[in-house]
Amino acid sequence: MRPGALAPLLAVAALVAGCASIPTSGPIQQGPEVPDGQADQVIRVIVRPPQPDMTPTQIVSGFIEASASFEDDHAIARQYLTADAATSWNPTVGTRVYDGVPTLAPNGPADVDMTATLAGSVTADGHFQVSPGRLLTESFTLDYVEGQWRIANPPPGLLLARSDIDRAFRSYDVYFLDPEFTTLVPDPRLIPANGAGLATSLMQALAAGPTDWLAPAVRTALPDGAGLAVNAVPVEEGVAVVDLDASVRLVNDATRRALSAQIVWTLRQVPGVLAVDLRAGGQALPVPGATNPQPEDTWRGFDPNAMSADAMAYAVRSGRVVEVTGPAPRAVPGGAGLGAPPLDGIAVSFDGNHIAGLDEQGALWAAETRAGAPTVDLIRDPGQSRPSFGRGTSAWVIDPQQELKQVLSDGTVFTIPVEGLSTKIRMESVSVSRDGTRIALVVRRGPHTFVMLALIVLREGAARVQSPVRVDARLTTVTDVAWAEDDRLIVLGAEGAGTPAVYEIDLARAAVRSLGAPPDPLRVAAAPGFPPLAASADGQIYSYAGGPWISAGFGGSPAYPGG
Amino acid sequence: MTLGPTSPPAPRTRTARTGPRPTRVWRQSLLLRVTVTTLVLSLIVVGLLGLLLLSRITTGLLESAERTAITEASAGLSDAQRLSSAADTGGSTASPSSIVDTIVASLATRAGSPPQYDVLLLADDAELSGAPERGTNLVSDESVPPTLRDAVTTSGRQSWTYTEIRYLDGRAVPGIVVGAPLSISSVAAYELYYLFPLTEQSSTLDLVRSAVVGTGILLVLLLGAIAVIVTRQVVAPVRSAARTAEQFSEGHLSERMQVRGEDDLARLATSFNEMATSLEDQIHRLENLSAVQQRFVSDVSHELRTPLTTIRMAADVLFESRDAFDQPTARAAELLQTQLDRFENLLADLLEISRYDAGAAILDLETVDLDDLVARAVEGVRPLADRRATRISVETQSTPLPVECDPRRIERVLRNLLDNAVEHGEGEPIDITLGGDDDAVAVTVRDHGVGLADDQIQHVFDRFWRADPARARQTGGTGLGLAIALEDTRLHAGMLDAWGRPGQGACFRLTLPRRADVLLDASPLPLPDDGENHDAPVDAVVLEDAR
Repeated sequence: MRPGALAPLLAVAALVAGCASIPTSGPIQQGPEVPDGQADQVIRVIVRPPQPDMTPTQIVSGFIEASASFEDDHAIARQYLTADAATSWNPTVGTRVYDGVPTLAPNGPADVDMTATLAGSVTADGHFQVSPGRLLTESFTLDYVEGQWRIANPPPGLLLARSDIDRAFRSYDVYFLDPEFTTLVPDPRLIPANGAGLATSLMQALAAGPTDWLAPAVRTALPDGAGLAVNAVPVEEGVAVVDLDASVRLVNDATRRALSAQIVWTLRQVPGVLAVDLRAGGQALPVPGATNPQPEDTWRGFDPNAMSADAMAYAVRSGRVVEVTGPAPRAVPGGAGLGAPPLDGIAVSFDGNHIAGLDEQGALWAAETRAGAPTVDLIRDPGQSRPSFGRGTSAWVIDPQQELKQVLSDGTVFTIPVEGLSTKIRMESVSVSRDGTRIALVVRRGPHTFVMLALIVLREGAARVQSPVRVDARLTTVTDVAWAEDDRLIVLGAEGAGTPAVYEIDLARAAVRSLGAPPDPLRVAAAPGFPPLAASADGQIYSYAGGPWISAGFGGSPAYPGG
Repeated sequence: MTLGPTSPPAPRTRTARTGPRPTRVWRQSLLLRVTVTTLVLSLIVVGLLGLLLLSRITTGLLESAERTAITEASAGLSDAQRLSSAADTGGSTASPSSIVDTIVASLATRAGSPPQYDVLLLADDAELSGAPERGTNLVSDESVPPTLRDAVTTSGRQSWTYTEIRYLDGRAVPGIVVGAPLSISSVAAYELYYLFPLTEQSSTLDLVRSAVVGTGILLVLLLGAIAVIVTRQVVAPVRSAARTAEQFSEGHLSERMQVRGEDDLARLATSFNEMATSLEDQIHRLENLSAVQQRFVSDVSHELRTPLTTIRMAADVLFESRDAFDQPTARAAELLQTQLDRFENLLADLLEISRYDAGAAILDLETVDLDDLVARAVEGVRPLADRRATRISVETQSTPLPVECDPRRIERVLRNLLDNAVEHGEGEPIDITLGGDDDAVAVTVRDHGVGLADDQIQHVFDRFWRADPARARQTGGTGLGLAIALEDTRLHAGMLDAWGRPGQGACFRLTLPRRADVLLDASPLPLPDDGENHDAPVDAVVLEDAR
């Protein structure tokens, strides 16, 4: 070989060797868009079919445990039943949830009584409702079938432990609208974690309408009777395809926008969904102001947790209302900032333009936050509760006669009827949700104070409050409540005889989580996207950002707009 | 070496041409043999290398997966132990289910999203204790082999094995399962199993396997192509050398190989050419020598004729007046006359032979009947036969046997054969058989005299050869008769075969093509004992000789 032929050969060899090694540099390359919120892992209960010669108690215990396994439509649980009961038993009508471990006691040779603390129930449409303090009793009758005991009378629905709910269900919000179609209202649902087709389940839930409890307070933009034309919502490459009935084409532009917001907000919770392709009768449904498919962030304006860009925290310092913007608080313009009269227990309207508060006697005063605006007294009677604004500009208070009052900014006072509240219960304070559809009440029953959630229902132009329900079963000494988000409450209270602390309550599954507390907390304030604030008896305001409570300066009665 | 224009085509390397065609092609083509051998050997080598490579990669991948699995499982186990002891000391009233849930949830979180592995928390005796058991996602508890469960519970240590991980949706993938005992004292004795699917390793292996197989096939094909190219480089000159050598052997003595470059093949070509030149020189020299000899014989014969004629005339005078001589002188004149006859015959035969050697013999073809030629030849030898009391029988065919030949020469051949038969026939009868088919006619002359041995048959056509040098010549044969007969037969593109057995006599067979365009390969008449193989070498000898 000629030496001249060696050079190109060496070059080729070097090139090939380069291809075979791991590069240390290269062009910048773009990855695919990563959807937020991957599907988390499901923990599955491994259950065993009945063993030979089990006692009736063991059979009942095995059945209750096997109910927690959702595979094959509870096939293993059905093995604990007699043949008739196995075919007739319907586990889907609802779930009763108990705390701890149930007590099983034989009651005669073929009967077993089950007793447990009832924690609540999950309706068939996925709404979780706590039922504190009740007992769950169930009596099982067993038959002796082919030499083995089998349950003959399984109660309809499932009996699950609280831990089963936490493990086997995921909470998702199905979104509906407030009566004015201005904001979305979440309707939390518990959906079995191992169920396939989450997008389909959510859209079916949306088409079926709000849960019975929430229904009076919200509206849906979906026309009556209209549902899914194709009863499935396939998700392909991040786009969920929703095909509604052709009748949806008849609705006006505003309704189309509201409907789109409902659907996009509901489906964006599904892992991997980045956009929604909205169709009606098979053809794309044009929505003014939106492209199709609609990206998941199309309907920011309907965000139930949206706060205005200049929202900030407020507090009271030496009787003056100040903006907590940093180390040097600034008094708000107008009478409230001047401290004439000195106010406490303040609330700030959602738009930040109105401030309401109580004077030393508990009379309700209000002022606009503009220079020169005077402080006006809205209710002269003393002993009013701390006001709350919610979405509008009218303040809600409870007067000493246990009447719920809605006070407009011009001083007009409406008495809002409260329905469904036991006469043994006294209302102590209120907090209206920022979407204006729900109201959280701190109520007292005997020695205990706790939080109840009720609906604000507009009927024939008049508002009323109805259907109050407990939101948790643990807190028994509650002094204050605030809305952190549209489905999360911040509560100042204590479990039993414990020391007061700040808790966060997830309304979807009534889960209570302690956030700790500053020393001697008095009041709390919360808002979406802002850290919870707590006023302490030491005259300081503390802020919570995931770790310990840290001081945000001197002051009291913290408040966020809309609180 | 000059070849007569009538020499039959040489059947070249007859034995090498036998056998079925593929075998022949295989044996004859060096290119095919080298290519196929290279392909087969490289296939074996590449296959072995591929297997080695794959097994190394598999081992490496699995070792890495094993390490990861064991490390991850150990970390998870300590995590679970910490959580379970926390649940023990917490003094809380958490139900067994919630404790187990907490542990599994914590372990599941470690698996990442999407999960790299699945976790199973199985109670030692779930049927009896009713202890809650958990698994992540869709993994089935049947994925854990019972042997591994036994090993974990009996040894009390972390154990692992390969298994098929089964899922509730029916999927099953190969994987590693690592198990360890985990005692949650407030609940029950558990085993914690980590199940690592090896789908990624399996797909990597698939990739590597396809790469190795593809590369291997490509490599083998390339090696085959290289073998073809290289072999052609060697074979092409060799083939050209073989062609040159063949041409050379066919008499094209000026044929030479092309010499290109300075490599081994060039050296071979140079040597070949030198050899060819040397051979050519030798052959030319021999040819010249042969020509000189022939000329010499011819010249001597001619030169002898003139004085012989004079001697003849003088001898005739002496012979005719022998009665006037006394007895001894008369006997001498008779002897002179007889020996002069032999001398003349010998001279004539020598001249004839020298004509053949000079290639000057010319055929004077006409179509005659073989029977007539035989009859004339028999008449010719009749006096001699009568003297020997030899009976000659002719077995002819019912149909005439016309043949295109030079009747003078063929008659001479037959005369020679008959003379020979009478001379060596010991007075026994001589059988002449005629035969013919579409292509050829044949005559066999069979005597029952002293016969011929195998080694004698080889020389029977040689010039001046005698079976018994001591034997007296009775008929005055010149010793050139059979040689001339063979030359005549060759001139006709015929065959002259001899057969003999000592004491049983001899048989000569003349086979002639009926027309000049016929190529003989067999005779219409058999030689005696044709069924046996004794004549085969004879035939071969004659054929060799004929060549």
